[in-house]
Amino acid sequence: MLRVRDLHISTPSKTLLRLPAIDFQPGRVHAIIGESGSGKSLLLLALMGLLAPELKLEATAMGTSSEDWLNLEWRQWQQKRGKELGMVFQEPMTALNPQMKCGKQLLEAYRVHQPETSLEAAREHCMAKLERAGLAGLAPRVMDSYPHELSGGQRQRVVIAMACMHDPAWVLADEPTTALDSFSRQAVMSDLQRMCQEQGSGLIWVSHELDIVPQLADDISVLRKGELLVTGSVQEVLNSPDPHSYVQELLAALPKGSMKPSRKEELVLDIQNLSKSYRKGTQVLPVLKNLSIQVYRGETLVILGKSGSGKSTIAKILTGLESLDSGRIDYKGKPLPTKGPTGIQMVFQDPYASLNPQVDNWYALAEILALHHGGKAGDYRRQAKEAMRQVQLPESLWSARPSQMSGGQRQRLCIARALMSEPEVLVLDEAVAALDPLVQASVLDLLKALQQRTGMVYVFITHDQAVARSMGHSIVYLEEGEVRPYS
Amino acid sequence: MKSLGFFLAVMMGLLAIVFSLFQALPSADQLLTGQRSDAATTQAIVADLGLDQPLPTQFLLYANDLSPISVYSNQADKTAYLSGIAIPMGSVSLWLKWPYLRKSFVNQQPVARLLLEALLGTAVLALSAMVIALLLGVPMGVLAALKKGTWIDHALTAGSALGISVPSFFSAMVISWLFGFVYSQQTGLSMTGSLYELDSLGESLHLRLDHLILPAIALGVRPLAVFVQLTRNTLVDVLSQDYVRLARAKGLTEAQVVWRHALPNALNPLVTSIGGWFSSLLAGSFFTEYIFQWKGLGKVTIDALQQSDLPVIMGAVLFTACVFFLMHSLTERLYVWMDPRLRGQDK
Repeated sequence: MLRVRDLHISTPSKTLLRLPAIDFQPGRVHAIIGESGSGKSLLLLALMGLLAPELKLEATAMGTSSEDWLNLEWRQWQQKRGKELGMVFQEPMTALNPQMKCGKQLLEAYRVHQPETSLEAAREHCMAKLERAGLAGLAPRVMDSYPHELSGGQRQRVVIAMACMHDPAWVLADEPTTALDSFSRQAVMSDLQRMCQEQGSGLIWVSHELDIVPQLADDISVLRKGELLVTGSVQEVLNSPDPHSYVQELLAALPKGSMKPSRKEELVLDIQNLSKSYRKGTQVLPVLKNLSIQVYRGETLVILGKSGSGKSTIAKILTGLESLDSGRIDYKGKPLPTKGPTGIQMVFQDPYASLNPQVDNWYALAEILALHHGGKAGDYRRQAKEAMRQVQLPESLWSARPSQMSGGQRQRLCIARALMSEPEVLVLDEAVAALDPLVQASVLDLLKALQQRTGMVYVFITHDQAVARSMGHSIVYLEEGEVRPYS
Repeated sequence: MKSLGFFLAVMMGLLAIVFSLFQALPSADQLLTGQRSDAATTQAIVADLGLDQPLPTQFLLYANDLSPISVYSNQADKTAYLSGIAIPMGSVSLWLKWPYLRKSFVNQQPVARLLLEALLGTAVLALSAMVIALLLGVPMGVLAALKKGTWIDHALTAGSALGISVPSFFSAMVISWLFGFVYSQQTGLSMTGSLYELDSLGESLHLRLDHLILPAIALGVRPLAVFVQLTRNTLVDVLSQDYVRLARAKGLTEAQVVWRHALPNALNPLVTSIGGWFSSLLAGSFFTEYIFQWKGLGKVTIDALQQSDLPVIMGAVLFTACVFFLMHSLTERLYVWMDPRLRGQDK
């Protein structure tokens, strides 16, 4: 058993994580749940002995019953890491060295603890691990590839194979599937769980995906703002008569249910035989193939697809950021104008990157009207105030800047900004993907309420199937630039 | 192929600009003939150099001299100086030749030979300065990054900030004066001197590597300081990357983490910077060469400017542009070779 008692991680000025007691049982899956900034990742780093040196760690106990980890020397940690402790990171893109072939990185992970093994045997071992990690049949190719030549799911499986290289007692996974689309998410996660089970590793799994946690985890701990709220088996925590309200809140925030099909009265967007391809050198890469979609007033069209399926290209074409190769788009019965205000606005994925950090909130809103109707931004304070009220931003944020707001507040501001010019179509490109579950739920609710009031059309682009079902009046599943049946 | 076309376009543009700029210089015939020459002599020289022709014709003639594929009349005296193959075509010949940069107004030497001789001095100096800067700068930067936040880091960062901000003519003068004059007894070095020097009898040239020491240090100071900061900053950035954490999580030692995973990924910006610095040093380090009286491109160019030696100036400018272009495309190749993500994107 891995015990942690009275763990306290802090900077000189601030406590980041406080854990009275957590027990991790060997061979079981222990999920740690909490929103971003709740200290989940710090716990994992502490268990790996990899906390940044400027952070202070205090505890009365950390380690197994036979060994205390608190006073390990760096060299002793080195012996443990990779051998008894394997780690899977959140972002498979950045977790692998971009300049080294995957095979070399895997071999390195094996031979650091098995230096006497022959290269040939080590290679065999790595390939076997890759096969087990869900890359059956692909292992030789993966060994010979650079990380950028693999898909996100494949990369994450390489990292998993690496973490499981020496059948460690514990595998620590820091949101291993957050960066993947919802299609590979489940597959990667169940492969990781199966692998840990086969080799008898305990899995400590940091996650915020409450939709798959109950199926895969045995135990759950919930963190919030650096405090441990509750820890115990899945049944205890989720089904007990008096569970912590935060857990219930998280469960309730899961996108659920589905929309009824709308009445389809007034056709707003009519996309006919749309095709688009990009040129890469002499190659022509088709992105969208002969796409036809109709959207009616008051309706949300969800475009669902994995990364690289061409979803974002549709958004760019609708907002005039890209031109189309062939086909036509009619907007309210007329061809979509290529210049000037079209009545179609866009909300981007990353609210932080799409706001100017130097601009006050009210000005970011008012300047849109000044642009459309002339005059100075100052003339439109009343409208800006109204817009902030509409997206439920408090008046205290009137002259705040993006850095002073939370992620959810920023995305609300982006929505308000898109609404300033009173569009009839709002294109939302992964607009809630970067938000925590609770925040995500509140933004989705806001969008639904706005739609009911104004009858706006949403073109909602997402890779999350649950979000897609809960938002879409109609769902289009896109794969390799084509509409495919989705069940 | 594309870069070759680009190169030619840049060279043509540069040629046009430089050519028209130097029309503002005092007319060459006065410079060449001195005070005591009669009108007939002046006339002859002017005609010989083509200076009596209209400007566009002069420009075309110069371009013709430069171009590796060119046309000359069979009577032209110039053909004596060309090195290449002539293919006779009636009264004219088609030449495949090295670019001909004409002769210096001042000493009648072919410009190409002047520049190549000077290039040797400059290249040796630049290379030495770069070696000093790299051998000291990169390890110091690595050290600062690994000891981030300690006094070592602060000292190295502050020192390199000083090195970057001191102008090269100032550091050159201080170094020359201190080690070549004040402490010359101890160092055994002199304030000025070139790579080759005539012996006391004035008969044969001697290689004087000791003359290299001070100018190489003076020239190396700024790139050294830049490399320290650049290495430190990129490495600090790379060390915070996930793959470095993963490397540690595998159980690698710190040395393995730094050498195998961090450093190779920190090299790209450094290579860009090395390429840039090396080409600017190769173009001639005007102040340093001048102060140490080091015979190199920079000194040749300054001398030529003072004497309004138009062909030498033109040649030096074009030559410098060539060096920059070559170094730049070399750096780009190196980049692609180093980073697997860039490979295969080029085609």
